Amino acid sequence: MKHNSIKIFTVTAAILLMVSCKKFLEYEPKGTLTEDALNTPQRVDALVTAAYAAIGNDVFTGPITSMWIYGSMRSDDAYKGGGAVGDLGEYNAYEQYNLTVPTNSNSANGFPNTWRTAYAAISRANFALRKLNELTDAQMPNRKVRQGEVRFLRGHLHFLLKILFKYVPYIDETLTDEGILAVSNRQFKNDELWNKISEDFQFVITNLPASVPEVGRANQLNGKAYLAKLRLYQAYEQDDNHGVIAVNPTRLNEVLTLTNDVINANKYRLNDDFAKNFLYGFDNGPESIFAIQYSINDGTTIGRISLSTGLSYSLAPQYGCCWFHIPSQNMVNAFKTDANGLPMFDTFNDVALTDADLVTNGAAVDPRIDHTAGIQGHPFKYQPTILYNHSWERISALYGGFGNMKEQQAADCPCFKKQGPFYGSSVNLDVIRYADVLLWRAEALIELNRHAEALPLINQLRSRAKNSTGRTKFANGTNPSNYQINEYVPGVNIDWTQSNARKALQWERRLEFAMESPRFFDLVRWGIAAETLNAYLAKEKPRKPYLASAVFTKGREEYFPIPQTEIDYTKGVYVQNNKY
Amino acid sequence: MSPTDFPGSWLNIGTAYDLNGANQGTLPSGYVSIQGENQNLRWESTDELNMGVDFGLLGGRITGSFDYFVRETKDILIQPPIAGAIGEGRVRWLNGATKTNKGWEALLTYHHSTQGGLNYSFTGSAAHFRDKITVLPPEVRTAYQGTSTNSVIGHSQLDIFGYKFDGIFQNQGEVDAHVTQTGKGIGRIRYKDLNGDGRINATDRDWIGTQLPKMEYGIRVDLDYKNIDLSIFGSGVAGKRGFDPMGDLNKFVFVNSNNGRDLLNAWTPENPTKIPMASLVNRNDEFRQSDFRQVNASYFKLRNVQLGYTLASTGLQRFKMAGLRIYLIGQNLVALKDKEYTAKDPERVGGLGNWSQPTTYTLGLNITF
Repeated sequence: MKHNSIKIFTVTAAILLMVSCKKFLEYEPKGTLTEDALNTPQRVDALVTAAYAAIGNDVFTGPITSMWIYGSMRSDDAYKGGGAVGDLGEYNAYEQYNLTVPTNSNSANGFPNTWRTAYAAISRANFALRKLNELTDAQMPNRKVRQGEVRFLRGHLHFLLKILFKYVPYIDETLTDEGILAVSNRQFKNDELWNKISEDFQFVITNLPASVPEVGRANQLNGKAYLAKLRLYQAYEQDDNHGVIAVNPTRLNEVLTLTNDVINANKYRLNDDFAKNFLYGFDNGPESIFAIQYSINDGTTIGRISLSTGLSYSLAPQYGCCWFHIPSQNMVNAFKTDANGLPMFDTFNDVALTDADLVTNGAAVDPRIDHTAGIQGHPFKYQPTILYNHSWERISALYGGFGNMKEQQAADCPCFKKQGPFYGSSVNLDVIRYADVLLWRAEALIELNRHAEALPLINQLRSRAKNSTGRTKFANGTNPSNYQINEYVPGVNIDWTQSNARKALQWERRLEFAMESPRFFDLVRWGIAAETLNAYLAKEKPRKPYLASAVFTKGREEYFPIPQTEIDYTKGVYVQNNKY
Repeated sequence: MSPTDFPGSWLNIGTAYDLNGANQGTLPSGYVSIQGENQNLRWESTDELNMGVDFGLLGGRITGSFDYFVRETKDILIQPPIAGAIGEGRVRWLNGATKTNKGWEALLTYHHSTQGGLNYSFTGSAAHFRDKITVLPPEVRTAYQGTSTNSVIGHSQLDIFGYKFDGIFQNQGEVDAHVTQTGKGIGRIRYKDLNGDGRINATDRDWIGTQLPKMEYGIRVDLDYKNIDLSIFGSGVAGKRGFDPMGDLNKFVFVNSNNGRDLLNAWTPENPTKIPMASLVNRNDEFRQSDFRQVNASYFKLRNVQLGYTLASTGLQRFKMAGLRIYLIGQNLVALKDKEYTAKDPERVGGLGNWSQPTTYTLGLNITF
C-alpha cells in the first residue's frame, strides 16, 4: 500500500513542475510532507530502504554493481565484445588502456556515470543517516542498527570509488551541499582515506548483530568481511606512481583476525557445487556473505534485475543481443592443468586452447572452465541439451572464440527477463562470497610468511572445484572437457615456498573469480598490473589484431582519471590523477 | 541551506529493495530527494529596445526598412548541473545569467513597371544578431560551457569551446619539440598550449568560434509580363562555421565499418595533408572538441521558383470559367555549400539524419468559376 501512495506523490510532483512556472513559484516549500515525513521512525526507515535500493541502481552505462567494465575487461580476463570495436567506443578505450583526457572524461558512459551514481547512492545513505541521527533510541529502538546498515552501504560505495579512482572526496552526513563542494579528493592521503572508509565498517562491527532477520540487510559479519577486504588492499602501500612499496604486516594481521571471526562464526561456508553461486534458486545461500538483492515480479515497472550485465547475452536463438564481455584466450588458457592437475604457471599461454582441445579426452583443464566460459559444443549454463555455438557470437572475427556465462541465466528461468534489447535476471550479485574470505586470509598468511597455513585454504577451493562437475555434464553423463584438478601437496606436486604459494594464490583467485571482475583490482593491489597486462598484450595481439596498438602505461592506467566535469563543477578543488 | 531543508517532493523510482531476499512479491520502498529548494526564486525579466526606419526613394521605386534591436534578459531561470559528490536530487532552479541580444535587419526593394507591360521587383534582406552573457553568478556557471577560469562571460551560449588545432606533426623533431601532449606522435594532430604551462590538458581550451552566422540573407525576384509571371526566392547564411557530422566518419578509421573518402588523403610523410595519419586507435583523442572539427557551414538555397501563365479571361467564358492559370513550381532546386562540409545539409544541424530537403516540382492548374 505504501508503494502505491508514494507513486501518487511522484506523479503530483511531476505535474507541479510541468504545468507552469507560475504554479511552481506559488508552490509552498513548507508542505506537509517536508518535516513530518522525515521525523517518524517509519519514514526514516523508508529512507534506509531507499539507501539499500541505491546500491543496486545502475545499468551498464555506469555500473556500480558488476564491475565487468572496470575489473574484467580491463584485465587479462576479457574483451569488450559487442558489434564492433567502436560499439561502446569509450569501453574500447578502456580495454586498450587509452584514457587520455578529455573525451572519455566528458562522455556520459562509463566511469563519469559510475562516479555520479556512486555518489548519488552515498547521498541516500547520508540522508538516511542525518534523519536517523535526529531521532532518539527511545523513538526508534533499532536506530543504532539502521545507522550501522547505512554506514555499511556508505563504506561499500566509498570502497568502490577508492579502487577505481584512488583519490576521491569522502562525503559524510555532516556536510551541506556547499560543504561538499569544498571537499577535495586529496583531503586525505592514500592510507588516510582507507582509514576514513574503514570507520564505517568499524561502526558496523560495534553496533550490528551477527545475524539479522532480513537476509538482504547488512550484519556484523558483513562488516568484518568488508573490513578484511579493505585492510588487505590497504596493506599494499602505494607510492604516488601506484607502485607497491611495502606490505604492511599490521594490516595483514588485522585481515587474519577479521577473517578468523567470519570463518569461526560458522554462519557461512562454501557451496558444495561451485555452480550454485551463479544459478537461480541459491540466492543468499551459505557462500553469499553480502549480495546485491535483485528481484522480479516485485511491483516495480521492470523488476529490479541485473542490468549492469544486460549486454552480456549472446545471439543464441533464445536471447538475441549483445554479446559483450567475452573471455580472453589468455584466461581460457589459464584453466589448463598439468599431469598433476595443477595450473601450468609458466607455460599455460604458450599454445592457445582451441575447440579441438576442449573435448572429453582433450587437454587437461580445471573444471571451473565449464562454469565460466561458453565453449563450442559444451552445455551452456548447465543445460545439457543447449550447447554453446559460435553462431551465437556477434562478431567472431574480432572477439570470438568463447562466450560469457557466469552472469547469464537460462531463458526459461523464472528469474530471466528481456528488457528492450537487453537482458537481466533476478539472481543476486554477490559482493562478497565466502571463497573471497578464504583467499584473503590465505593471501595475508602468505605475505606474512606463514604460507603453510594458507595451503588448506587454497586446497578447500580446489577440492570444491573438483567436486563441481555434476551440472556441467552432457546429457549422457560424460564431461565436456577433460577435468584434471588436484590439491597442492607440498613435497609431492609442489615445493610450497612463499613465492610458489603466492603464485598459487594469485592463480586460484583468477580461476575462482574469473569474469566476476576482481581481477584488475587484484593486479593493481599486488603491484603487478603493468607487467602482467603488457605481457598479456604481447601474446594476445597476434590472436586479436584489434589490440595491436594497446599498451598499459605504468603509473597512469592503474586508476581512472577524475571526471573532468566533476573538476569543472567543483571549481577545481579536485586534483587530477597522475599523468592524466 | 541546512541539510534538513528538503522540499516536499519525493520520488519512489528506484527506492524499492528486496530486503527479505524473497526474489519476488511487493517490495518495501522508500523516499528520495528530487530537487533542492530556492526560497529566493524570481521571475526572469526582459528589457527591450527596438528602433526602425521605413523609407521610400525615387517615387516609390526603392523602398526599404532598417531595424535595430537590443534586448537584455536578466535572472534567467536555469537548473544548472551540480557536482556528482553532492548526490541525488539536489539540483535547484536558480536565477542566473544576464544575457544581451543585439541585432539588425535590413530590407531593400526595387520596384519598376515599364511601359511595355513588364513589372518587376528585386528584394534583398539581411539580418545579423549576436548574443552575449554579461553576468554569470558562480552558482550557475556549470550550466554553460567554459571553465571556472575561462567562463562564458562575454560569449554567446552558442559559441564553441575547445582546443586549437596547430597542424599535424611532420616529424619526430616536431613531436619532441612540442609540450607534453598525451598521444602525440608523427602524423597526429598538434594542439596549442594556450596557457603555456607545458602540457595540453583541459585548461588549454578556449573560445574557438561560434555557431551563429555572420549574416542571414534572402533575395527575391518577382516579375510579370503580360500573361506570364515568375518569382524566385532564395536564402542562406554567410560566415558560419560549424560541426560537420560526416567529418569524423570521413577523416578517421572505424574498424569493421565502411570508411570515408578523406582517409585516402590521410597524412603520410610523402603526402603531408591536414588529415591525421590513419590509425586504428584514437590515442591522441582527436575527437575532442577543437577547431579541427569546425568547417565552413555557410550555405545558400534556391528555395522556390514559380512560373505561371494566365489564360485570357475572354476565351474562358464559354466554359463558364472566370480564370485559368497554369503554373510550375520548383522547390529546393539548388543548394550551395562549401566542399569542406561533407554531410548533406548544413542547414539541418544534428546528427547524421540531416538529410537534405527534397527537391519537388509541382505542375498546377488553377481554375476559378
